[in-house]
Amino acid sequence: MISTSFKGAMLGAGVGLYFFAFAVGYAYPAFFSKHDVPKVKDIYGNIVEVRPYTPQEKLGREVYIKEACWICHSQFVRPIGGDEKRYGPVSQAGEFSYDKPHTFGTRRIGPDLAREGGKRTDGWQYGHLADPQAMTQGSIMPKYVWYFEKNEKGEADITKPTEEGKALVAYLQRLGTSIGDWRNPEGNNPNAKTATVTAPKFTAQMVTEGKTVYDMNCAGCHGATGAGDGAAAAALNPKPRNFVKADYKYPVNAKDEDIFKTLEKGVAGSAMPGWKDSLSESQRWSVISYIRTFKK
Amino acid sequence: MAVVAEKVAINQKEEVVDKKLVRLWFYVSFFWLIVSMTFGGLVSIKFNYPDFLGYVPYFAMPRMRIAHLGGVALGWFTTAAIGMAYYMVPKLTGIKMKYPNLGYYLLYAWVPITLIGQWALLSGYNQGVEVGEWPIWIDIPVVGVFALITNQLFMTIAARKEKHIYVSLWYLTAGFTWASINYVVGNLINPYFFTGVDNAAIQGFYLHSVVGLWITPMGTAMLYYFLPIITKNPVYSHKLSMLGFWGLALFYPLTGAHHYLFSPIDTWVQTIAIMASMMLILPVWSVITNQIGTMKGKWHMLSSHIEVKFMVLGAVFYVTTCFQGPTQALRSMQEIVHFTDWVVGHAHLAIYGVFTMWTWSGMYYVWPKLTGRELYSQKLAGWHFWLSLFGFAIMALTLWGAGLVQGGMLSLSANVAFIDTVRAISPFWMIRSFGGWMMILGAVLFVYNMVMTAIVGKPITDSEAIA
Repeated sequence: MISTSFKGAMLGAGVGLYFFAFAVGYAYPAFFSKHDVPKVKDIYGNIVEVRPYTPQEKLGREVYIKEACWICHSQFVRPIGGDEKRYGPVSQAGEFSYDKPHTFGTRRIGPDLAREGGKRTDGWQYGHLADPQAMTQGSIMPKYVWYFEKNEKGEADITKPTEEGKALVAYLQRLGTSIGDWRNPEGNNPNAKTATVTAPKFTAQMVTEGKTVYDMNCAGCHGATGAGDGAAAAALNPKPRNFVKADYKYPVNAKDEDIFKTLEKGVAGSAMPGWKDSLSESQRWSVISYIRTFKK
Repeated sequence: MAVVAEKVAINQKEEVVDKKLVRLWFYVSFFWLIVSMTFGGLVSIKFNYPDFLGYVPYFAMPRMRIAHLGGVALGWFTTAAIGMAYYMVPKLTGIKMKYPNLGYYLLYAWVPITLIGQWALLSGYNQGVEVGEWPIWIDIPVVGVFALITNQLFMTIAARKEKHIYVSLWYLTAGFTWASINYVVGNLINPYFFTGVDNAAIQGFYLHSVVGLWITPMGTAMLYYFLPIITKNPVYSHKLSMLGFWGLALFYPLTGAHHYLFSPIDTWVQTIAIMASMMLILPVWSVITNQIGTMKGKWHMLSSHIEVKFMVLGAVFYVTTCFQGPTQALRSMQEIVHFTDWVVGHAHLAIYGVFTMWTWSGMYYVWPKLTGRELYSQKLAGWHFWLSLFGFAIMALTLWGAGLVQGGMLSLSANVAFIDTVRAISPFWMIRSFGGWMMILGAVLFVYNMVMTAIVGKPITDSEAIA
């Protein structure tokens, strides 16, 4: 039989193990690994300073935490599992040095947001916040209508976000931008050479397939009939392209190949993102074949 | 050294348990069990019908999701575990609890604390700490409650009649002490003093310590207390139980960083976490070996005793969860299953499949003694068991399936749009909801059975039987 006082000491040891683990695994790296130094390596390999959050971004971060966005959206890009290709460059410790508490998250019910900044325009974000399903068919995100003022019909007016709504979008636009404009490493050069492509011959089957792709991914902004009047269009500037009028960049002689390039790279300065990573080449051609049917 | 809890329990002539106090704690836990599980059920519907319950801030899916978690962890399990402690500690020490009124005062504090804490989450006051969402102004009274109970526990043990400290008491004292400290670290210190990556690492440590150093010790204490009493067998091996305890104490706190593998947290910290996770197989399986050994010659009770059914089912899930947990902490598994429903299934396997089952087992045994009445309906208890088992099996399997589908789609091809994975697993979520509502129905039957036992159950005349 072990003596009682010895047992007391052993219980103390049990608690001690907790502190041992804390000290070795967590306190030691916290104090000696210098994670909280606000410096990161930018896309050109230079060490750059991370700027603190502006008051507005800070408010947006509070909204993000308050709404528990971190329950469904993670905020770190891993060097594995297609993360880099899907979201952007791998996360660095310095990028989080102003986050208290952290918002890493443990579940991706929605996509990772670590590199969300600059991916979409503010207008797209407002439209999406008010009605995610209109922008992305099949999305299960709640409609955050209470971040918008109501119009006369009592619906959320996506052109009039509240202060908190604006702050939230400002925060989202800040995310992952500390490493520089990684989406356009050479600047936005319209003359950058790309491989030439040739449009395949469109078939009826492609048009049908294109409709599916269009309804799921494009109708939120461009509208179901292609008139540029989707649910989010009101918040967007410049407005989404009207395919019925066929008001393309070169309205008279818009080539399928030009549209293909737009689909690939997006339109700088607008809400139009590049679809290279989310639509396959054949899907992109199909959707073009479908868009072409809108013209009156 | 085959000291048996049952010997302590049966030899007592004097009634040491404050039965009313334990009953009251259990009633509060019943309330939170139903409310929190219903929240989970409602959230799961929102996965398929995002517009369900309208566009009300209070019922936004993420807010309800954290309220489900807070309600289950603190409202249901913690309340039930405290009630269990007020039953087990007097039995194991042979004396009444010190400060006999304290338990009542704490309960009167605990009810508003849990209500306000849950209301705060729905109203948008959360401090952004996973598994510690309650805001800081409600965390402080929570720490107060934990600290006072821990102190009461130590005082009672110091004055005990029964010299030997049974393994359940080890787990209880250590669990309450760890929980008090851990709650302070995770809720009061970390979110306000550490930034970014360090904050994440410590939060992982806190998060997993809630499971490993609070929920697990409480559940294991119940297992070691109730199993020998119910089966009237001595604990198979006292040494093995000590091995389990010390293994838990050594390895569990080191595992936290496995929640953030491949993050900017130092790689060596992640590696230690993975190793410690693997090593957890040791203490957990020692507990299970002990349980199976204790069941020796008593397996026929499985067919007749509802508490044995739940105890054994919990053990089966414990083996599963503590094989699944360590393996999913491996980097190669994480690449695919992390961030997916696989992990959600794992969490439910531990909290529902193991510890809730064991708590129910204990409650089925204790409740007739607390109320002095026989269980109202064995049939309802049977329905509770089978609904829980099948409901959970449906839910867990679909969650794991969904996790593999989504994880596979995302990691095997970078050309899949995220939304396509959501569309792909949407049918899984539908089935998951179905299983979830079976579980809720089972829990409702359980609470109904318990309440009816207290009201109209057949009185037990044999005074030995209610001791």
